[in-house]
Amino acid sequence: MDNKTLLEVKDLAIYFNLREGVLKAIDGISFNVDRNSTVGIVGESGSGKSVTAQAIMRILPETAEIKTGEINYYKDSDNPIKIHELPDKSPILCDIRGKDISMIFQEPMSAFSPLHTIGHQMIECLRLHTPMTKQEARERAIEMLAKVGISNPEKRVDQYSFELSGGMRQRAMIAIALSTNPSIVIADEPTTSLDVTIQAQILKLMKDMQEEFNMSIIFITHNLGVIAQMADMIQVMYLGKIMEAGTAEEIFYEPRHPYTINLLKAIPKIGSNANGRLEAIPGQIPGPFDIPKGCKFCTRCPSAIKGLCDVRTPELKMFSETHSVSCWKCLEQEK
Amino acid sequence: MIKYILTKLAIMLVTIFFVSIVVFIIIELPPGDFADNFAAEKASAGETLSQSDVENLKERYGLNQSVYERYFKWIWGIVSRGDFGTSFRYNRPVMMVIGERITFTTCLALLTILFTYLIAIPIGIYSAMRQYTFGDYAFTFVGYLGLSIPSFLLALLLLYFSTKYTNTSIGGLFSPEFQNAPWSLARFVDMLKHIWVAAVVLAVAGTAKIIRTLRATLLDEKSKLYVTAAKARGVSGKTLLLKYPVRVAMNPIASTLGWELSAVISGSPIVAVVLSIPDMGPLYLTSLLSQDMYLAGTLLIFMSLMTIIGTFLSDILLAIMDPRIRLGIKI
Repeated sequence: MDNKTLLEVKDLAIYFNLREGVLKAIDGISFNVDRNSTVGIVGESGSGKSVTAQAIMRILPETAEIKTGEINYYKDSDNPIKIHELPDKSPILCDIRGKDISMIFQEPMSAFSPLHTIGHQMIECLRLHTPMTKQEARERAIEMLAKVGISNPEKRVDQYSFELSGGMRQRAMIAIALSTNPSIVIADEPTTSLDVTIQAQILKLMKDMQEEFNMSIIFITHNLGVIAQMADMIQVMYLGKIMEAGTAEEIFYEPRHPYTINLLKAIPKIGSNANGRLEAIPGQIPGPFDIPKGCKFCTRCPSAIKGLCDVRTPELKMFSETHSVSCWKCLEQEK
Repeated sequence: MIKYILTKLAIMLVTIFFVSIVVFIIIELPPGDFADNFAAEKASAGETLSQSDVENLKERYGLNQSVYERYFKWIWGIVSRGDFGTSFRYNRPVMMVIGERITFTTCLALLTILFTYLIAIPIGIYSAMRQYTFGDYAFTFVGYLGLSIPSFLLALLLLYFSTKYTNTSIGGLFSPEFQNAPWSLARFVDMLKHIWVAAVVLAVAGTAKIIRTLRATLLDEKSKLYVTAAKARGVSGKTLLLKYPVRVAMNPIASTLGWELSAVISGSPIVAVVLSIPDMGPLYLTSLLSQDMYLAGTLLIFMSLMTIIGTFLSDILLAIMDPRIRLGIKI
């Protein structure tokens, strides 16, 4: 393993054992997160992007099970911490959570306890992972709140989450996540519940913080515009599979997978005919219990090859050192 | 916080005032009064009271005055001198008649609540954390058994087994040697030794409801995002459970404290009769039957007071526990 890889997800499959049957939320995905870089995961709802995040943090719901695969965290040496193997109550795992890998949630309102002050939750996290005294942790909390642009942090630290505005809450969330100086921050749709101006501020804040703290970000979103601003590497997910992966340039300027191409077409463009219809990917996402055989996108793919796409799963084909696509059509064209 | 408490206190006083009016109307409702009742009782015993005797009685107890006059005199006595009037039947001030019994009833009620919570809260948490396991089902079963077995039956059973196997009677309130002794620490301890049976019997009936409430709320809360978020920050084990979802799940328990208190008080008389505990129950019944109105009124007011104070305590408890209530945030 080269030195720049920080987190390696290899052939990961997460199944949910539900009363209705087995739900394959993630079905064999692999990607790497390099040091000090941003990996974006894009996909529609139900594509398994949040489950990926939960799996890395090991905060999956009780019904979920890591079926196969590895999550290796290269903390400092060549000996990775095998996150997928750690038992639920392992102290190593509890120490990784919040210290090495921390998470920013989509809804800051419900991600804060309504009964504890912002400061209380920050201080708790700091004291769990560092030898700080209560006073030191409090000072650090105030410092972090100031750093993420919250005015009057000495007062805010003793307030409850419901006393803050939406943007402020998300800033506080980021402050908590960064307070322990983690090496990876997983941001699960961090700007989805915010309005556009606040969204831009938060994205800028995250970029600034990444520079200051030297961390990697796994950025999960369904918003292609956001991912274009944030990510170095992009993984396009559909129904628990990675369809296409590459650098931001490769995904946006040379998309190869029909899913990515159609996804990019569906972005409304300024200046296009105001009365025209928005482009949409035809059909609907198949239900979680009748996932198609072969390529998962074959039911909606305009260029699906009958007898091939709906029978056999295409292999991942590398088109450059960074650009990989899982599509029969692309494989055929190469021949 | 102080403003919140003062508001609640003011509401409490207004409620007590209205309760006193309602109580007075209720004890005025049955036809006739204590004098008529007394005459009828004597008549059934073969004695006759002349009309003038009855009039004299009415005169003496002030039964001839108008309802308003009597109400305001009664209330004024309570407010100005703590005088709750005279019991016609016992011919003594009401407070002297019920003084000791109120202590027993209060002790019994508080002890019952304490037992109820001590039994129900750990079981509720256990049931939620081990949902659908044998333990969950077993406790649920026992809880419902407690809910469905009438309290007096449980009291009788306990009485029977304790005399049969330990050869000591747990009925009554004091051991014979303390029966008429003046109050002392030893006597108080002796009282606790006897009163706990009644408290446990009454507590068992109330646990099922609290177990189910706590279990349901906790199941709701433990899968909420703030718990996951705390877990993602590295909080784990008991801290994660007790500090986050359990604290939120305690809210409905705290807010029903007032009802619990009144449920215990209205449920206790029968158990008290079975276990021969001289609390307010039996006295209340006879006072109503003989239209001993100031006694009945005082007992009624006292019972309502317990509910009102219970609700007041709930409010304060909730405000301490939940900042959203303390700060008056609409959720």
